[in-house]
Amino acid sequence: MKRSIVLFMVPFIICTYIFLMLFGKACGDLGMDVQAKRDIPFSHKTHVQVQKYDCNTCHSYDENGRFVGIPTVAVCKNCHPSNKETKSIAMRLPYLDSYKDNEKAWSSYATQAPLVYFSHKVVMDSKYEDGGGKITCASCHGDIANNTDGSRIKGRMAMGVCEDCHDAINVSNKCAVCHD
Amino acid sequence: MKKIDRKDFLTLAGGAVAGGLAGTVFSGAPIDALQWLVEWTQDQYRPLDGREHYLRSVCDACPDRCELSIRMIDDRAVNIQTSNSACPVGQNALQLMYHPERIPQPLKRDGRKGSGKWTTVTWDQALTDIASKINEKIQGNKRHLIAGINKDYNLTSALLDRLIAALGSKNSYYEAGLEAITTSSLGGVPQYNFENTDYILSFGARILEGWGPSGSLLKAFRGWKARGTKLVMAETNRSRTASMADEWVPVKAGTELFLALGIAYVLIREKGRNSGGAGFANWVTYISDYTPEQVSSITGVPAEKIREIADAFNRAGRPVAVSGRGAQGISSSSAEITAVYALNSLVNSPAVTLKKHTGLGTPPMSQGAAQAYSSAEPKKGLDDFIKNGEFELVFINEANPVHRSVFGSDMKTKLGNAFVVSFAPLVNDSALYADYVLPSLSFLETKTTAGDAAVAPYAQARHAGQAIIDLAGKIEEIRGAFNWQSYTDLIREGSALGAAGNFAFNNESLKSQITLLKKLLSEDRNYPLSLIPYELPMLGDGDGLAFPYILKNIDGNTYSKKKLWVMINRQTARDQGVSEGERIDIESSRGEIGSVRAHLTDTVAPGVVAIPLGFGQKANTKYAEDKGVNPKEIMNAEIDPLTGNADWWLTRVKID
Amino acid sequence: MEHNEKADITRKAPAMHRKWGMAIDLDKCTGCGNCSLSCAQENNLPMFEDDSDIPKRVFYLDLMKVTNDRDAQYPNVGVVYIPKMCQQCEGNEPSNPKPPCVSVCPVVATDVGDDGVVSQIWSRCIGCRYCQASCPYEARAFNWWKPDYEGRFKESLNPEVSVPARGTIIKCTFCSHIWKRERDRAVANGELDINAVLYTPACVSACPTNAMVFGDLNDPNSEVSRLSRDARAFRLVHSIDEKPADEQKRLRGIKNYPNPKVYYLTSHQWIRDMMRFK
Repeated sequence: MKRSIVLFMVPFIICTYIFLMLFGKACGDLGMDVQAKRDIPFSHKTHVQVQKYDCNTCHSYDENGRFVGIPTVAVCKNCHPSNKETKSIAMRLPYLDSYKDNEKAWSSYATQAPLVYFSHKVVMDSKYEDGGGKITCASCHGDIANNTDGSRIKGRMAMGVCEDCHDAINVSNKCAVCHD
Repeated sequence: MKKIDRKDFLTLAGGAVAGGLAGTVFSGAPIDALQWLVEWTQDQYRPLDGREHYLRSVCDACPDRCELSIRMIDDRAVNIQTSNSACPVGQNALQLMYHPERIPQPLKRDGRKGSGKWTTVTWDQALTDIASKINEKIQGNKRHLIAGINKDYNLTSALLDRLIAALGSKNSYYEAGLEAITTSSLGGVPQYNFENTDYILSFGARILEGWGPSGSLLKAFRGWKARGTKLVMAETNRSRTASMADEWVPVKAGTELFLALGIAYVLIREKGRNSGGAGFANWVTYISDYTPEQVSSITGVPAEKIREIADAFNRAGRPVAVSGRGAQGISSSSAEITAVYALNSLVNSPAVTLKKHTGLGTPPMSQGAAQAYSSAEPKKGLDDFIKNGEFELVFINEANPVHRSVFGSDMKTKLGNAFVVSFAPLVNDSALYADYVLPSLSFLETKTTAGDAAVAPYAQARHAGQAIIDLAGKIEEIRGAFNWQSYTDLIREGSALGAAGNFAFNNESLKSQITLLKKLLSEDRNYPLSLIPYELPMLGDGDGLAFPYILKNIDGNTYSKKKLWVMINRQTARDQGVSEGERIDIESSRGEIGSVRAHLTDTVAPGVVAIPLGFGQKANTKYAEDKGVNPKEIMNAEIDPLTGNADWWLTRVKID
Repeated sequence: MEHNEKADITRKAPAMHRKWGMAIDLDKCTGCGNCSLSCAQENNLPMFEDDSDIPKRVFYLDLMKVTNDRDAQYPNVGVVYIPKMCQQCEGNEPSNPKPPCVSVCPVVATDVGDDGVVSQIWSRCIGCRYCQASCPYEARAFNWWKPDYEGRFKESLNPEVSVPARGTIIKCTFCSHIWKRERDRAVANGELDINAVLYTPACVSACPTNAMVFGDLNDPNSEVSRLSRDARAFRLVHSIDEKPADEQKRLRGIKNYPNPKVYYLTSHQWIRDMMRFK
């Protein structure tokens, strides 16, 4: 191979890789709260895959259709009572005792982009032409069900992602559908 | 290996740079950078989000008690809707509650009076100091120099009245609103059944523009058309109410009283009607001069029209005749109020009753207080008190006499020499002269007849009624008169209405008013024009000026770019040599207000200058300060013998 | 191939059958200003140091005080308040709506939604002000300055409406965020048909005399569509309405008329005359 090509390509490839990784990582954080609170380790995998809980069990909706998002400690205590007599350590979780019922041990990585009116309920209830609902939490939030330590697993949620889906289920992509 | 020469080095460097660029481009960073740049240039402020829920409450701001549905985001109120009907007071509660200049805790004057310099103190310090000042007055035998000035009749005003009385003073006054002047003229407030009337005869009362109980009035208005209710409006200028009326009777400026007398004449002489009320026989003889023909020459209303109105009023089953000129800044003479009420009484209308605010009754008094109380000689009304009264210690409960009274400048001087305690959520023109400003609450923050407050009180602000109870607790002598822990114990009693006694015809007041009016109406070479006030939607007589969303609504022909406009009749302006947009000064015998612009319009009567109320405040937050001029400075200041308040509706002026 | 199928689907008639419109009975409007106040509160309208400063202030709903004093003399004068907001025009052809503002926008910041509401996405707006110039109703305002929500005023802002930035055009959108809110509520209650959702904009719900009526113009039984056919109804500066049908058709062939969806009702001829280009 010509020496000059090698001389050019080696730093080219190295630099491309470095910058791609560097900025790619940084850009992946855009629209995400990288400093989200993670007070207590939480395994989605244990709860969803092993215990077979539905996402809605903890991430529920208000009566007006608003998404509650991260559950309060009170929700955790439904299954992990602070009651000292509970035998299984796993069931008791003593560190929940330091929280009030309306406090949250976590905050969300996914942030709502500004200027967007977004309803989880409406999106989750939407149907394809054939009547099938094919949107899952994973469609936007990544494979959180297999996440074991509550770490961030999927980066940006860009507008293009919403648009593709709107296209597919025949919902208008006019600005005012989501923006106000 | 060959040594890396200059060319090779450049190739290497070129590769590195190209690689860096490629990596950056493919990582999506440029798009993100652009996104960031866009967001940075947009300089976006994001409203705080939270859990949405709705609260039910009632608005206790007036006796209508509109039901409210308040949209809450977490513990913040973001929207108010009313199931009943609403007035801007309810809608505007959010702007008052979240006003950036809300007073967080008691303020003590720090500097000259009126300088607006304050230090913050605790409630305990403030109330203790006020209590010691009151004790000084008690010990110095100056009980009669203690006074209280209220804005509206409500729970707090009832408590303040009680406080003043318990201290042995009768100096308890109300700002000259509709209720205050009708109470002093008739001994009660006429309650009109607007829901169930078939004929409304309004004497300058702009009943569809915020007058009186505007919530229930507008609600009643919805049904008028279907029920065939007829609205007849006697007014000089073409207001919105006059435009919406079935019939507008244009009267010469300030002559509503004579029109009422003319109609009364027809009812008595031609329809054989008779009225109760002490002094009626005398009154009849006194008005016998006011035949429709005579009234026609004074008011400019044709005699047949007067007979026609009288006839329609006589035939109607449930007619109401409404007095109280204006929308929120009300001004009428006692003679006019009596004459208009007499019409209701003459036809014995079932749609009008007279009710009286009961208050909390006379409190138990110490011997000294009782002695002082029995010998006290209070003035008839607030303007009389400001002009001729004396005080050394005064409580101002939400009122703003410095701005709203025609004796505002006298009030300033007198407040300057007295110890002044003001209850207010925002520092208004009167609170500016206070020694202590005690922060009060908006109605969303107070407990209501429907239950708990919708929103927690701001900072240390406290219900003014609670502050009065707390203050009374610190004064040995009157502690026993305030046996309540909290104002909430009293919520139902505060502004209750009871039956009023029979009203009386006061001929002395009628005589003096007629003399005065005749003087005002006679041709005056020096002051050829009549100055009549009007009010803007929502702004009323000045309180609304503190709120940006109300300022947004002021039209360009009234106030814009620091210039206040007055309306002048087109022909009159031509005679005076004034053209559209010209700068004019308005002068009355009391003084001059300068630099207003003239707007030429035929909605005002010939010979009339219409000036908006509410402008020209010196404080009331940065939104209201130094906007326009206050016409009260030059308005007529003859005090009515019965209401004790100036009848400032009509002022003779000239323009330069 | 798959892409083409998608394109076909999106070209189908929209699922939304509503066409929101408003009727304002000027005979019932007292000019109390509640609509304007409620609108400002609901839509987080920008506040400035001095909002009485007319060139600077921005509003969606303008409570215009109109008199006929230019033509009439005292006492034959009248005063009326006309609440004027974006008239949500649809242009000559309702099936392909092209209001004057939408056709001039270079960046699709304003568009007509499936429900007939003319949207205004200020984050797309580049501030060229073409739409403002083209609007026959002066319903669009340019936000010259950064909003100045002082101190605690921020706490009363509605989280559903984005705060407009400096240098963009803003206008009334019939409170379409309330419709979205109502739609969410309906979905939460299991109602998935988008056409079943009705709503009331802030100004209409604040009107104490029921002078303002809001609803679906496509539904012949709705109150608003009944009022729009009333003999008292007229549209602001839209004199084409009073011409015979074939003349209207001819004129539409020549020029794009705004064809607004806000109807005003009055029993006074002078108001109609004032609200017409002469």
